[in-house]
Amino acid sequence: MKSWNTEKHPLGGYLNRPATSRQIAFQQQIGEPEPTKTLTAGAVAGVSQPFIRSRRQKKAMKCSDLQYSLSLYADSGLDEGVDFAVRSHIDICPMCRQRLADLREIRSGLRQLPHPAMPVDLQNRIKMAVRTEKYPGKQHLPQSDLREWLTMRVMPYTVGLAASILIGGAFLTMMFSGILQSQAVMSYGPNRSSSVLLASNSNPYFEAQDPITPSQYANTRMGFGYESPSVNPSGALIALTRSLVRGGMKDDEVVVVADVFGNGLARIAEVVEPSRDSDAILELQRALQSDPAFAPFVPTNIEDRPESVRVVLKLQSVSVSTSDPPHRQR
Amino acid sequence: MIFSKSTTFDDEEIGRAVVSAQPGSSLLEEPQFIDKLKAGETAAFDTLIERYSPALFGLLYRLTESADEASDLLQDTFLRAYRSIGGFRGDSELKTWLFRIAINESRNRFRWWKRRKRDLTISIDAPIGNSDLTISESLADPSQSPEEAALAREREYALKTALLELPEKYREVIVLCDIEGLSYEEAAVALDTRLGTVKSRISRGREELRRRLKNY
Repeated sequence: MKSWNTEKHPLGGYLNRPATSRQIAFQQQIGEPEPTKTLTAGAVAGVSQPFIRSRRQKKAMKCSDLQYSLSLYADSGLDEGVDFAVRSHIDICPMCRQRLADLREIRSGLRQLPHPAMPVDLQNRIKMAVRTEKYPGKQHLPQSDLREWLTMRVMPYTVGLAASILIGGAFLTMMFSGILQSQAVMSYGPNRSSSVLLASNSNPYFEAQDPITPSQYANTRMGFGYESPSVNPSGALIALTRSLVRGGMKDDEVVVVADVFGNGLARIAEVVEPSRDSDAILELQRALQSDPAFAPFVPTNIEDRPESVRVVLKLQSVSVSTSDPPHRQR
Repeated sequence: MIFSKSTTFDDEEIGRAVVSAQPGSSLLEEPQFIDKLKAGETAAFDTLIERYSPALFGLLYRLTESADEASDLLQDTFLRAYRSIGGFRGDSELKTWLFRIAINESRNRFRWWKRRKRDLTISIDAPIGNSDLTISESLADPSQSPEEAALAREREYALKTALLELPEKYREVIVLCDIEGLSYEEAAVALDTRLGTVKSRISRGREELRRRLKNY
């Protein structure tokens, strides 16, 4: 059977031409029955008679011929020839124009359907399933969960651990620098009132990298220096206490009465309690009467006190159990 | 006809092009990306899941009208993709390949249900995922008046019902082309069928929808 296409004439009429083999093949391809040779009834309602009319021109597509072509026409999915034929038909056929409009509305409605919302945790579940597939028997966290888990759980502990390390490091540094040891001696009750401690290394300034000068130290003790001469931080007495601690003086003490002079030197007036080490008194005497440049006490020109003051010096070595092995501090 | 709102042809074509242009699915990126997938890189699969799961979920949801079913099928789809990625030759786009797997998973599940005579039912008032929001509630447009919203909801309900009542072979191609925005050629690859069959099915499917909706 032969197929016909209708084309619009430039002058306003319609020409019916046999369909091409490609058009027929397409119509068969989309599952339509093979189009039959049809005759147009001229103009459909509301359309004027074609200007040019011949026997061949009277042959045109019926509505049923393009039943399934209209949908593809709406998508611009027809070959050029078929597309022209369909367009020519719908120009004269209000029924098919309405069908085309309906199909376009359906297509538009389908495209405007709201996209269904995916369950919020579905992607993560699938990621975990893929990981389980890759590593059977292990539990896995997807990246986003892992990130969240790290943020919520690990980070606080990490920050806490880092802070602990910093604080611990600072604490150890202080311990080894001797500051804590000095403070431990300071807190040792019986010695607080001791004049020796007042004039010894109980002040943390002595252990600092930048030692305090004699005048600076004297200024810190303003008000006390009149009755209790200030120890020279860089003097021989301080040096002696350090050497005694490093030496053999363990859990021992020596108490003497000494006179401190205006130049900072001193002299033992009486030994109240001797040390078990017989050399300790001699060393103490040498320290008190050393070179004025290394005088055991600050001179009177930088501390307001009498030219001669009698003091009781008590040097004591105690073991402070702050760690193992215990540190001795004077 | 039920749909009074019309869209010009040009606008629709533009819209179709926009829908087809998935972000991040550049062909230039795909070879390297596919190599990573074939190497079994977990991060690459994470990206694959993030990139394509919304569209695949939409497809599966339209085919099943069940969020739970669609979720299960989506997981099965990606697991199947993970096992089969080694055999992906790149003849089609990754997205089309995934759609094909999803449709096969859906068909298998549909047959499984049919064997047990427990065919699917429409549940437009079913909750979406774990939320309290139902499908019908999600269709309302806040910019519309209550009357307009009610009419729009009614129209969409009718359309969705008609779509779900279509034979599976027509529903598949209409969901792929008219909702997910695939071209005829892509739909043919996704459905593993000929281009002419796609054209025939989409024509018949739309005609069937028109017939079912003519009273609205």
